[in-house]
Amino acid sequence: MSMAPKHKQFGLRRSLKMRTMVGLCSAIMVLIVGWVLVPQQQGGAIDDADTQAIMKANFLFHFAAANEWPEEVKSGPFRMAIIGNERLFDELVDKYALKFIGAQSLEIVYYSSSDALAADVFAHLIYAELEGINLEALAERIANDPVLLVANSESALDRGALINFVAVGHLMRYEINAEKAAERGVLIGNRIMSWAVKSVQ
Amino acid sequence: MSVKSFLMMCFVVCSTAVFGQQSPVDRAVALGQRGDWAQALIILEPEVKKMPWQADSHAWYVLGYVQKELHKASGSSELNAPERLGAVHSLDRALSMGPNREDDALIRAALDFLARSFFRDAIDRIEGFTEGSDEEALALFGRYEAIILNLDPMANVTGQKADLYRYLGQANGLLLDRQEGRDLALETILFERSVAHYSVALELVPKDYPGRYNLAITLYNQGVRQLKRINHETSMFELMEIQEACVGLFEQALPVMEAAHLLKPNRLETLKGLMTIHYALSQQEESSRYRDAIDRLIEKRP
Repeated sequence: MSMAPKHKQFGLRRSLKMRTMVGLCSAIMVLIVGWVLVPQQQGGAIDDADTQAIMKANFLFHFAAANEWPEEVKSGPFRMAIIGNERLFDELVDKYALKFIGAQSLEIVYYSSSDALAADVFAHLIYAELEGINLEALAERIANDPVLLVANSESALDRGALINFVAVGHLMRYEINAEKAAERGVLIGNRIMSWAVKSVQ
Repeated sequence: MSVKSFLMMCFVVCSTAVFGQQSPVDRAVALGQRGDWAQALIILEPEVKKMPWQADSHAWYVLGYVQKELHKASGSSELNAPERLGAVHSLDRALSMGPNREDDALIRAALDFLARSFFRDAIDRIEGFTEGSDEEALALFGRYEAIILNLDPMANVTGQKADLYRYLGQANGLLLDRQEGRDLALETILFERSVAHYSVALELVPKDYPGRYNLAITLYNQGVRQLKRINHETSMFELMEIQEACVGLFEQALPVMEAAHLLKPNRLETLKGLMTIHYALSQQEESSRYRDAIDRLIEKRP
């Protein structure tokens, strides 16, 4: 038992109690408001950048820079045509347009379909989001030109593409028909060959 | 000497005598009533360190109350604000001495107020988050938790703790977004902290949808952040390395987003997340499946 004299009736006790209750209520209010103000659901939104386009664009730039084209197409701009993939085109324009491929500046053009591909404008590299007979038709159209046709579809090498993007596990890789490329006058560089998952030579 | 003067003198003497007999607790209370909390502390603090007040629960309660009021007046939100720490110490001590019923309720209310002030300050740290203030926010929450558990050992603050960790994950994530590649070392630190906070939040409350969704987004976006660094100077070797690192992050993000999807199967953002992650993992069919699910969901909406 305490030896100290007990504090008996005094006005502050009631006052303390009142202050405590008022303080408690306001604290709870502040707490609720604070809790509500903090975002309850989510932080950022998912980044909707086209990841496949970012990777493909860089691969295409390497295909342009590390392969060898015949002398007769080594003047003027180095033209890269993109068919059917606008986001890839945007990515290329954003990061690679006007960069130099040897002494040629890189020009990137877009076509919504292969039909729109201008017959009189030579493109060193064509990336086409085509498959089946449409891809075959395009390959036939450019069969006699030193054009590196790149695709991203099943059996694309059998249908005339020279390079085809393939998924290896979750990674983007590519396969090459170097023999056919050489027939068209495009020499596939060693660096490009070394990273290919499959190459027909 | 007139009667009137005598009576006046008696009154003064009696008043002085009464004041002289007042206990330090009474005097502190009287000062507190006038709002002079600083003087109340000066009078009471040395006394409670000595007998007989040292063993008096009520004296410790009054001291704690005075310290609490001084803390409020100071407006400090510092982790180690001396008045607040002193108040908690004094009130804890008062409570441990077995106060009477009325004091017990008042002590608990005062401690609860202080606990909530720690909690509120922890939230404030997150709302005005700056790099590296994670530890302080957690320490403030730790003080809140300690008081609450002292008041009620059965109290459960797991949900609040999980929320706090999740908010810290978000706060680091927001700083990370603002970095935009300026400081790669800091970017890595912020990313790792964000992931670590979300992971703790999910250990505490595994079925927390926002925690899962946010963690998946953080992992995925970090992968995209790496990819966006690719440019015309990136070599084939670097491209392959970056790709592997990104795919590693996308692979980590996928099961987390799938778990979020299980918790809220019709949430558009999660479906979009799954569609995007599968696409980034070169899984076109799976990606298309979620795109169709999104279309169906949008069609159903009024």
